[in-house]
Amino acid sequence: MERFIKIYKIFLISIGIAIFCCIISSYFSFNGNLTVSNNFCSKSSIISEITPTGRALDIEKNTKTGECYQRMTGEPAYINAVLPRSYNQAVVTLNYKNPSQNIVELGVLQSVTGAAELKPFENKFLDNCTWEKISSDKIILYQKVRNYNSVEEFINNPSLDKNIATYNYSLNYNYHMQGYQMFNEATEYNQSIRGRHELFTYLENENLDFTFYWQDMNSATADNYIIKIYKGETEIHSAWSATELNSINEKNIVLTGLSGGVYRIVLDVSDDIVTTKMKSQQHYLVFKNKLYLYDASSLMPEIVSNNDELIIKTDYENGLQSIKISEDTIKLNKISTYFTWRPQKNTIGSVYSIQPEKKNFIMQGSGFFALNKDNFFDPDYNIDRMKNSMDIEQYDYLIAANYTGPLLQTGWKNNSATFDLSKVSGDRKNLFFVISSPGLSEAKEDIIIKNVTIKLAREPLTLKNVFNKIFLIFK
Amino acid sequence: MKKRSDIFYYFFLTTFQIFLFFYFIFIVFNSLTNKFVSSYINLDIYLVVLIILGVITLWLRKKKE
Repeated sequence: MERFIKIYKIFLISIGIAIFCCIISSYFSFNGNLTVSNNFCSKSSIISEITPTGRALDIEKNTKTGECYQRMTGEPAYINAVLPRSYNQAVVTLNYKNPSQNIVELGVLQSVTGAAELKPFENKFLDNCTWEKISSDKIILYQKVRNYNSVEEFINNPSLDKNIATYNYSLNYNYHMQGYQMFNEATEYNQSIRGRHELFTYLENENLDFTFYWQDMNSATADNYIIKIYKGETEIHSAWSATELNSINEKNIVLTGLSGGVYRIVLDVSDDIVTTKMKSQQHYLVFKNKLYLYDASSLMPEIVSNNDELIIKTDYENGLQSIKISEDTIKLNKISTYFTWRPQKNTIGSVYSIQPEKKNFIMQGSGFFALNKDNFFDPDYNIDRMKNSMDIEQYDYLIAANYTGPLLQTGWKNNSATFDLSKVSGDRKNLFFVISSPGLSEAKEDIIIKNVTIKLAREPLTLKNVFNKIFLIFK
Repeated sequence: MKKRSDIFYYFFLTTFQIFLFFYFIFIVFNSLTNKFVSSYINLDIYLVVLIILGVITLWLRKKKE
């Protein structure tokens, strides 16, 4: 009997050691891989529940099937993963149901307070599109009427007079304004704008000539004023200027010998900086995606915009007001709260007038704003980025890149997104994944998530790697 | 020839000892690794199993005496 007990002892110890070795191996990632998951039935110490409260409900359990899941009611929502080591790549797989939203994207926060790199996750416009489809090198083109025989043909010569929707793809084209005439007199843009803004202007056979006036609201520390000018994606000029506190600062930029077309000017400044005035030879000037009007003066702008969805917020009591947008009136009656506006009927190419009563509010969208209707032009022609609330039948072409639709398995959708974690700041052991689907809070049905699996990869921990690391430490 | 209750006693005693040994190892490693072990092993259920094994072992020992 002693022999039997001895064999049994060795057997049990071997199992224990094997389990312990597996855990140690996962912890140190000797093979460079770690797979962690959360099925919401038991609490995971690595992957959190979906947060924050208010955008995600408590975990629910289906007593019939034993499945646990969490509902996402607003966006963006976050999934936090606390990892034992830093990894270079993460493949995030979700098992979910999405009955209402057309577009869902998944991202990873580059830093805790920074922006997220969003990847396509689900796009029902593309999944359900029955148009003529051609694809090449991860780029997919849908045509309502077949005019192109290849994706390359479309990319090299897109029909800019047609309506095009893009997804995860930037279509390169040179904007040309028919019948453009330069202005002999300088235009003054007298509205104060706060923080970072992206401006687009158009010129032909003339100098790019801008003078910026600004002041720092923070009287203790001065922030620099950084201006970057781009043609397409290429930076052609950058200027830096120190700010003098308690006074109006000024910087003039003149660029000569430029080819005709659209130029992008990025005012890369903090929210402490208020650009009080701009003076330019360029008469066409629009602001992309964001306009933060900050002023106490009574001179109200006649804003126009081609945004078909606006998110408006004020952080100040004196910014509470009613804003007339097209035929509607939006009441900003609460500070630090987002108010959304959409037109009753949206047609591509529509430009809406915005008439605020006061300033001190921020408007965001995915189109352009101008401070006066005479300054407005659309540098994107009728090329729109796909968004949840669009009417796809108004478009003639859809182009997307690097998109694979979800698979449907026993009533649940399954899809993955791969992230390069080398861009994430810090030690990369505390990752925040973002689930984004604008308009979810107003949707009839929630996104339901049943399972989150994260496959992580790094270089394997071989003896050679260990020695190299030790060598680097001593070096 | 030993009695059947003796065989059971030694069988449960051995199991209890080894489970207890690994429980301490897992607890220590879990606290050192920010609860990494608990993402693989449910240590609460492990503790319950350990207590049940301990009770059975004690009962068998009493029976043996």
